[in-house]
Amino acid sequence: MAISNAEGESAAKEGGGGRKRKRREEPSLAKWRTQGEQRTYSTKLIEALRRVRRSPPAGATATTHHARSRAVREAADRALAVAARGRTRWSRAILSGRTLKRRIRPGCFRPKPVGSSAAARAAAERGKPVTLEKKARVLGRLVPGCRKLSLPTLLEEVSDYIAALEMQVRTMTAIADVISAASSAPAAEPM
Amino acid sequence: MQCLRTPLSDLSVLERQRTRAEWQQQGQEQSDYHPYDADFCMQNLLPVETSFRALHSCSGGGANENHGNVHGSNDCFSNAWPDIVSSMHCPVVGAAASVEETSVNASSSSSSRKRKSENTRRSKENSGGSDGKDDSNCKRIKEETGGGAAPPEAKRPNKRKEESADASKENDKAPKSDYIHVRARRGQATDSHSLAERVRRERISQRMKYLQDLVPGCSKITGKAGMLDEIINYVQSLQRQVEFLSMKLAAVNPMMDINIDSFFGGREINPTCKSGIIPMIGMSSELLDQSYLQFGSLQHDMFMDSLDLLLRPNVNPPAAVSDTSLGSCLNVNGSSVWNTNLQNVYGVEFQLGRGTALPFQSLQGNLLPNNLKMEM
Repeated sequence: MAISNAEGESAAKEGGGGRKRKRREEPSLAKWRTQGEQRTYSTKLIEALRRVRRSPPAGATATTHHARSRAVREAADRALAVAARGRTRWSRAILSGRTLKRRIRPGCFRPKPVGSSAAARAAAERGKPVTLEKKARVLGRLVPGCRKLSLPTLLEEVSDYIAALEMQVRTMTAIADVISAASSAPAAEPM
Repeated sequence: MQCLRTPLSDLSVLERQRTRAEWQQQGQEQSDYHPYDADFCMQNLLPVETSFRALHSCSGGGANENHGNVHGSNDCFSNAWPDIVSSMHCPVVGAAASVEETSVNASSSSSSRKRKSENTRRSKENSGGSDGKDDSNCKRIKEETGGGAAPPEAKRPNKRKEESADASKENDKAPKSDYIHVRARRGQATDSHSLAERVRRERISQRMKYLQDLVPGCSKITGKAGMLDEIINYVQSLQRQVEFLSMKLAAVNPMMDINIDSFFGGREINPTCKSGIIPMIGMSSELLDQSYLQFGSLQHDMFMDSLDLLLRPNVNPPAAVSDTSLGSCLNVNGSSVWNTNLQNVYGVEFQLGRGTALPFQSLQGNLLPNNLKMEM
């Protein structure tokens, strides 16, 4: 088939970076690994962190901590979505539907995918009652804004989302490290 | 020259049979054909020769099996489609074709009584020779150029299956397999649904392969279900990590009164003004590199200024006491602390991003500024 051949060739040509399909372009995933991207993202993230730090007053209760961490996380996700430049569905979904996610997510949303995937694996061992479709739905629920997507589109979104998440983890780890190091060092010095 | 065949082409089946009978009676085919073979022994003729010989051998008995051997160049046994056949042959075979055709016609007519066998032969030739010209369901009669046109003996179109004469069935099978190789799509191509499905499946498998590279530990797993499970687990683990890190950041944030932005942008700020203006990080890291590298007095001061900014957000950093302490501690302890921390962190965390894991880790051996640059 001409189409599939073209896809295959182009995929082979472009390798791990971007791919060009006959009908549309797939965003390059290498962008999530560049230092420039990480730098940009960390800038945005730090800005957001500062805003988060300032706006909610400091509290010692657990709920406040929880709220703060949630706020931090959402800020991070939003910054990530901005870094994605809105080309992917999940980034657009994050930017547009943040309030909805907040209501759904805490508590009820998380345990479900974990449980269902475990159940799926167990079921698959038994026989094959769980189809690919169910797993695709689970995956669609994990990625924001990708609930009702067909499998090929979903896979594309997931690959971009995974790359973005990896960058997010890297950046946040580095920032946390710098902060903790900077905070611990001056604290130790005066002693 | 193709018009030579026209009389033959006009021959109906009956006429062909009649000619065959005549030939058989005369028994001249062999003698007649051989010289032709010799003369027109071109590349295309080689198969023709074999075909001729096969024909000759079976001419007497009308054995159809030999026809099976004939393939490729069986030029028109031409009754029904000589025009087309000849037109196909014209460019390739040239004059010989016409002669072949004549002889072939005669021989074929003599040898093969059954049209079916001829059709079979033609189909075989089609399969063997068809270079994909008639790529489609070969209902067309375009013979291929190379081997020799299939003998369009009958007016029947080149249907692979329809010829199946009993005798030629064995012959059919071999060429039919060739057929199928040549036109792999034939069985499926007609259905648009299956085509679309195939495209979709190929797309899915391509992306699954890509995801396999992305997700660590997926190379061993084959099959979409297992892969999807792995992907789900990986996405969940990544999200959990982000959650954990955000908690950590939220916890760390209020404890230290740090203006992170100014820290990163400190290098740039100082030359211009010592306020808490925070520039974009992009430039700052390079300046930081210089400062770290040199640790000169000037840079030291600037560095301490930036540290001051760290400690006192949006405040001009004139204080000397904290400057020295900060500067010293950062210079002495900070680098080592950062190096260790960063190395530890990078070693563990950056396994995630395999693509950049190597550059990150390689840079760890370098100076601190490089590390800082990386993390930014």
